[in-house]
Amino acid sequence: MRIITRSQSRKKIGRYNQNQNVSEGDGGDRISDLPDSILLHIMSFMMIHDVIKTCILSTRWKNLWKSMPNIKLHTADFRNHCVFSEFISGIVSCRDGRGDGDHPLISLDFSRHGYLQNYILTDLMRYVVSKDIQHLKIYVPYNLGLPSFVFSCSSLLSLDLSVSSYDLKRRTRISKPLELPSLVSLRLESVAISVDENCQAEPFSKCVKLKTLSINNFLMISPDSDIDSYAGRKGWLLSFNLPH
Amino acid sequence: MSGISDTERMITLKTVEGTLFDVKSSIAKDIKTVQAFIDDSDDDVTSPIPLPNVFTRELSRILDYLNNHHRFRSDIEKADEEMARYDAEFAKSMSHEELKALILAANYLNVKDLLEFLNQTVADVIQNKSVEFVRNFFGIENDYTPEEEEKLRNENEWAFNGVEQD
Repeated sequence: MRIITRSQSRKKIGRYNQNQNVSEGDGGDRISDLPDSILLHIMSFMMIHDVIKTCILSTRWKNLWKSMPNIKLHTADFRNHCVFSEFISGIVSCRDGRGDGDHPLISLDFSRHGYLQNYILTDLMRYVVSKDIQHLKIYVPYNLGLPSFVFSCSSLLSLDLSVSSYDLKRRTRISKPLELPSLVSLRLESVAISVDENCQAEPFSKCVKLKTLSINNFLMISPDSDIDSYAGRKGWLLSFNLPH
Repeated sequence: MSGISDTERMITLKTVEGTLFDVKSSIAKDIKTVQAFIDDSDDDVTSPIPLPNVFTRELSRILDYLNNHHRFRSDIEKADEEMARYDAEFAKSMSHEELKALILAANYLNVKDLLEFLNQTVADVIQNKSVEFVRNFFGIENDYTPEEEEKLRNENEWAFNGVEQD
């Protein structure tokens, strides 16, 4: 029998109390009756700066946000774009170390409009990979230097990568087979895939669990090619075999 | 699997106050705690299932929500539009206290979609609000000393800066 009795007095839940002022002689802090998992779930719908500010509510909330397993970082949520980078560094250093315990991270949803210094993204990626991240989504309207260790992250279940479709020469490139043995779902938009002299590549040969693959607007680049001559091949269909 | 006889089977739920609710088994499927109880039972469940943490008011709202959503889903053309309108009304009709009580009930009963919707609603309410408003909303007693609070603000300056205050 799954039904568990919680030691919540009816009074504490306060459901019949129409009074909006909640802390009147019944212990207050009614939302504290909610488990952390609920509070973290609520946070997952909030913008990141509001999430971090919850640390100041009370001691119970001080480190709670750091356990949020799903992080969404969208520049659109920031009125001041300049602080975005500082934010990312702050989140990484806050969650990482300082003896605050281990905070598992399941997913990162990252979207950036405008320039971002490369080392910040590298730090962020190093952090998420070290946390054995499972779902990674990166949308940026430019070509980013995604550190290669992302492409050998063995915990990754899904990867969704969308970059710029304009600057062909600097396009984000997949230069060797992805070493993503757990990957189930992959979506690539506007990336370049390196091919050999015979125009062949097996970028997904090591993704043995891959079930869903979506490639949109890709480009093939051979090692000795003048990129302009290959621009016309944009959008060719790759022929590939999924292991399953 | 879900033949006619199955969808017409009724399950009886019993709240803290002892109120009985008859629920179609197709609806009960969305209430995971109840479904687990049914699955764990060897025989057909005929007697009322006791819900020792759920009050009549919350259960009746939850069943209302589930019944309406089932109805919307049966009419695919209008489903999204009507569901969105219903959800908006549903969120508006609750006081903050009712909203929190409903979250507790939905969490206990493990009604995933509803819990998702309610938690989203809370996030919308407290979004961009001052620390004081959020404390009030959650009924949080501030147990920091002014010095501790100031220190925390300074430590997390990067989060408090660059964002417009309401």
